Amino acid sequence: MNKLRLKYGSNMVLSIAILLGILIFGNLVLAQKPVKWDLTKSKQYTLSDKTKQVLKNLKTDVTVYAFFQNDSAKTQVQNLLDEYTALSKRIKVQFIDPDKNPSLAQKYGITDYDTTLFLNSKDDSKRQIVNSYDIFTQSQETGQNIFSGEQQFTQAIINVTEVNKTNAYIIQGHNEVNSTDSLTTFKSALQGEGYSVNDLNIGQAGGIPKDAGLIIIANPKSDYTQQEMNAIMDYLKKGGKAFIMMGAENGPLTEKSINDILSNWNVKIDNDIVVDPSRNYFMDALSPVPEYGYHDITDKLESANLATVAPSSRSITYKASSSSNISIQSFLTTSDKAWGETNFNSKQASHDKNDIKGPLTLGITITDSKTGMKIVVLGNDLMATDRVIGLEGNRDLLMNSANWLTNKTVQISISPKSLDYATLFMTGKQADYMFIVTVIIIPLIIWIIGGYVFFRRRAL
Amino acid sequence: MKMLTIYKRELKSYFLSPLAYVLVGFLLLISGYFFATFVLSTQYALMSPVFGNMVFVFMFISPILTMKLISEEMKNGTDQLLMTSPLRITDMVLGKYFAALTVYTLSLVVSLIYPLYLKIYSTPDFGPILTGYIGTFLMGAAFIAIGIFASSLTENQLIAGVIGFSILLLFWIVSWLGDVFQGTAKNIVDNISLLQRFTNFQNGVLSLNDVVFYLSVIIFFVFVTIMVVDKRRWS
Repeated sequence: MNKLRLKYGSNMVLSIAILLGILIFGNLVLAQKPVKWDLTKSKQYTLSDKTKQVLKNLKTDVTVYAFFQNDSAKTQVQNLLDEYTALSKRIKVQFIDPDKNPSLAQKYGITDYDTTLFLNSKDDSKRQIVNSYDIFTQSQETGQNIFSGEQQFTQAIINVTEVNKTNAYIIQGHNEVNSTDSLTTFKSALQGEGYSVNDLNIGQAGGIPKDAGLIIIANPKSDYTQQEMNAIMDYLKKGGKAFIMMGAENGPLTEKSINDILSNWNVKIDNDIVVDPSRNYFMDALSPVPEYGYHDITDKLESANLATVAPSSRSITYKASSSSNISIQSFLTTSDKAWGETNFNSKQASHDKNDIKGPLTLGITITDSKTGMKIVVLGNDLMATDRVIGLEGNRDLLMNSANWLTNKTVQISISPKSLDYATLFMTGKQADYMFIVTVIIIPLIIWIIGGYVFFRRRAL
Repeated sequence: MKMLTIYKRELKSYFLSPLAYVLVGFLLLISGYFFATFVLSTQYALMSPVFGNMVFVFMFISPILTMKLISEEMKNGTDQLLMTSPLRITDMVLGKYFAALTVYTLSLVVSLIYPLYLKIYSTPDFGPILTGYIGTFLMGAAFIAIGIFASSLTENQLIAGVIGFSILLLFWIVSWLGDVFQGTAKNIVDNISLLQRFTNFQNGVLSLNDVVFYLSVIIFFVFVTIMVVDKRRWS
């Protein structure tokens, strides 16, 4: 009898062990390649095509140190980084509690919680810090929380793995928009896209540096000297890239340099301020929300339904080019109800005979297929300033423009996902009914049925 | 077919006694309370927090639902009858398991009135609601498997209930150990935590890994139950 028991006993233990082994093995095999379906409407947990492309083309290993405490921020970042590591073996992620492991935080100069550090595994001088305020933001309009982790992380990966950085110069010295006061967000956005951004005083530098990948001209108020003009023209003739922004916030257009440059391609910035009573931002006719033309810069914005807000804009007039290698394309236009107000003193803005009739062009691109020259002209520079860049898709439009100029069209920025929950609309009475039905009536019905069954059975 | 006989008999016994009604009613009372207060206070057409609370409440209820399943048979000696009958033990355990699962599923079906409410008054994202229900169902199914295992260990129902609840609680809080450990140990702890696995479902992500994990827990405990009952036959 004892022998039999032993036999059965060991059989039992063995079969349980075998089953456990199979189950653990099965789970481990599956864990190697997670299979997931994101069923949320906005594809909240699915990486964008852009990120997938970046991860696929990754040639160097990237180490990610995430300095987090255990909180909801960590969970969100961890979920996201899990998606990255699932797609690419080159991404190595390590979560570090800065309180328990302060030395590593110290080594990389991390002072705040919830900071994520991206390092090129081969060359750790190539590194980028992503702060918590970069990824957790709040919508200005709705106050809803926005998580832009994917955008920031993917850009960080691009930045630390890119071989060469593109140099972007913001031209200063002619009362342009001050890059240190007003363009900080614009600059850091460009840096996030892998540019190295510096100010440039053409006169002091003795011309435009050879390494310039892009020059940015933001609304100069005084004219350039002849030498400076020559330097810019020379740069453009050799296939340079320029991002020119000219808005109307300072009143009439007094300086001529920009129009002198643009006249080479029959393009002119008008001396007006655009009024659009039909398509505008919060009923402000002076803040047009232009329509997108068919263009690489605006395609993704169009499909993502991201509008652009352009307060205090000037219109741009241009003639179709006669030369076959020059192509001029418009990508931002106002509604046909808009006009270009030329009288800057009129208190009551209205359309009169001196004004320019809509629809007006607010943004064009000029390309020279022979030299590779590319120019983006915007009838607006406020969009790039800290105050306005955060509105709607302004930042994306500017980044897409810069990337289009420097032929980095793959680097279209990813828009953050807002946790856009549907809200419920109920009257007080409906709410009361719902509470009564779900909390009282349903359990009560079940208990009454139970009671009925019980007492009937007892009575039998 | 033999399993079906047991299943029917067990289901009948659930619904002819007040136990199932009391438990289902209680589960729906608490779930309804969480649903109504959450939705009315936040105005969000969301169910993910409700699912979390539903499984939490079911963690307390499931041991009561399952504690008598096998221990009662042992106490009454009817297990001897069952074992000597041509019925296979597997049929018996599975029949009882699915009967308890049916009671749980019925309460989930009644709770479908919550998303119906959301649909009437808003346009909710049904993806997370669907995955939430799948997750809640799987979690409950795992609880019941653990409960039936506890019930097979002793002929005292109350002790079976306490054992079941203790195992569930252990599975629930094991993820807290993740904060203590680092590296591989942490990885293991995170991966065997029933709670940790639930977040994907709540978020609207259906992961095959998570589904397989829950199924593994279910299969394991049902199998061990069969083994334990079987052991009684030859000892």
